Amino acid sequence: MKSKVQFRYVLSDERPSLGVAMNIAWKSLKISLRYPFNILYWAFVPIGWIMPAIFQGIALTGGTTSTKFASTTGTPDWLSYMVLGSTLFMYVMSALWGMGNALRWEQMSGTLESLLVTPISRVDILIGAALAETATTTLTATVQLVVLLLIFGIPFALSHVLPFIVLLTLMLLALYGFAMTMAGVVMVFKDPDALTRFLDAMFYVLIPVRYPISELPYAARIISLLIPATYAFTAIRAIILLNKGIQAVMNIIVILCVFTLCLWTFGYLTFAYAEYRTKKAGGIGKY
Amino acid sequence: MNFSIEVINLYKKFVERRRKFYILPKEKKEVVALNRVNLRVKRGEIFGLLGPNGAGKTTLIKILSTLILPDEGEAYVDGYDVVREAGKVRSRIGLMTGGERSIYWKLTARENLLFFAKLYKLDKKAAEKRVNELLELMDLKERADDKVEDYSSGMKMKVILAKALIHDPPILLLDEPTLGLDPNFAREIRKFIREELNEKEGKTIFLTTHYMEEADMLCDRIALIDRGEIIRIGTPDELKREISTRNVLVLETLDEPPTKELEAMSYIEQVVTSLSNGKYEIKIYAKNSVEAAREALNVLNNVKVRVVSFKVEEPTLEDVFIKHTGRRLRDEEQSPI
Repeated sequence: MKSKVQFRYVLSDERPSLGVAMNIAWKSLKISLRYPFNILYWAFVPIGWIMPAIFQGIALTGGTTSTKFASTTGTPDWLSYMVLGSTLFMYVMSALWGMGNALRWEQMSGTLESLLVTPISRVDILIGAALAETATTTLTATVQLVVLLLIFGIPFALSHVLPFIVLLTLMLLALYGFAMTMAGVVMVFKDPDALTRFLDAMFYVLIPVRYPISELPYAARIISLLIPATYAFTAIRAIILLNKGIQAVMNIIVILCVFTLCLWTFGYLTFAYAEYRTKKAGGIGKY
Repeated sequence: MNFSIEVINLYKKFVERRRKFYILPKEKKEVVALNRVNLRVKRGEIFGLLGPNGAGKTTLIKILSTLILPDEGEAYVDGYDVVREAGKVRSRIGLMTGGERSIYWKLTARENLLFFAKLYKLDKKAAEKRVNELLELMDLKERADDKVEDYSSGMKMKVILAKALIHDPPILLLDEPTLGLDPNFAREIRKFIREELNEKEGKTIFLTTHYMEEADMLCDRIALIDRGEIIRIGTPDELKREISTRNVLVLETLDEPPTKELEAMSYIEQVVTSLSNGKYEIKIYAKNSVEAAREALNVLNNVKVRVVSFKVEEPTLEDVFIKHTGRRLRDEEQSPI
């Protein structure tokens, strides 16, 4: 028997509200703060992850600069290039999986149904989760940047702060759109561990985290250009490492806005479809 | 609009796909959870859905709360379609489901309630006022700022009920509200539902239970549900009146009783046996209890079944259920009365 309830009937008519999203984010942060050792762990451990790469680079180049590196990136300072890339990559990961992981956590905790039965937009639930994740990442990223700045003297000036925040926000907004699709995947398939690991690895290779995309094979370079983070990384480095003004990266700002528009539309529709499919199967609270 | 809840020809089927071995194709199994269900719940009524586990009770309550989509049919809550007007439905219901894990254990009762109040768009002042009212009503004020993880099960259930009431909804959907609670607290919750929520505040209450005593004591009307189908709807008295001419004999035996031989006796109408705590319980339905008892004891004596106890009982809602389905509401689990 074919179902008579169709997808178009169930598209949410509730309007998104930043206040509701902030309330959800604050709730998640409050719960995270009840585990203080986790916060300390996440503030310092990522520094340990980047250190081996730094020492390997020093061993290979005999310092923190390289003329070969300058010929492809415009800056000889590979260390600052890599530290910035690693810090930004933490944001990419948290933006990609923050929504899905939070959804999964609510599912496992038994609170997802309580959330979904309130008259709020689904976008609020997802953005709330992403904001909480981004806030935690900001703590980690700040600790990492400050520690590495003190040790290696990365040229981060106060005038860089505002353009950095603008570009970071645009990158996060675009990635949140993609993350909605990922959250839909989590809702349907529950534990997409294999997909998470695969995408993390792919993004780490394709985004210019440690090297410019000009080093990638041609086909990989094309795929890299389909990821908004590639543009954001390039623009942020242009401002911080090459001392370019915001006007120099206006074209990238436009590209990120277009990405945001497209990915949010696609993300909203795919998440709504995932919710529709899960509700049809009766699997909202199941894990 | 006279009905708080209206369900018309509701149909829901679940499809399970299982793979027995990696390379084999998945096997598809279809389970009809609700089969053309029709019911209407009046405003201000306590309506109970009584049936055994797996009867379709939770599926129906989840459809009404917009957590599951039906395949066919219609359902309206406070006049709004649960599929096309889900947002409006959600603002008019308070749902209590999923047991004690449906709130955040790392937050305090106050933090939980304030969080949900904001999701229901209460402003800060109104939310704080409502939270204080509910903490007072639930007798939780003294422990309001302790983390929920430090509460007893009963206190957690109070927070969950308070959460369902945070926006003062006209309709409450309660899925097995006393499941797993100790008898004293279950009685307290029932009293609260009846006296405070229904009689004083006039809320419509739709609850599911598999405890017949709970349905009998609490509900104005009851729908008996089994395997996705509504068998009977009526007040507890109306339902019991259906079998008032039947006597119920209850025997406990140590050995398995010969059910077919018992049913073949002329005065015995129906026999249902179940195994509980290592003993067999035989329920015998008959119009003439004296003759039926004589026949039953003869049969059991002939096959050397050892009888431990024997009594005549007043018909209950479970007996109505047995009359229509031939099965008991529950086997081993006892109601927390």
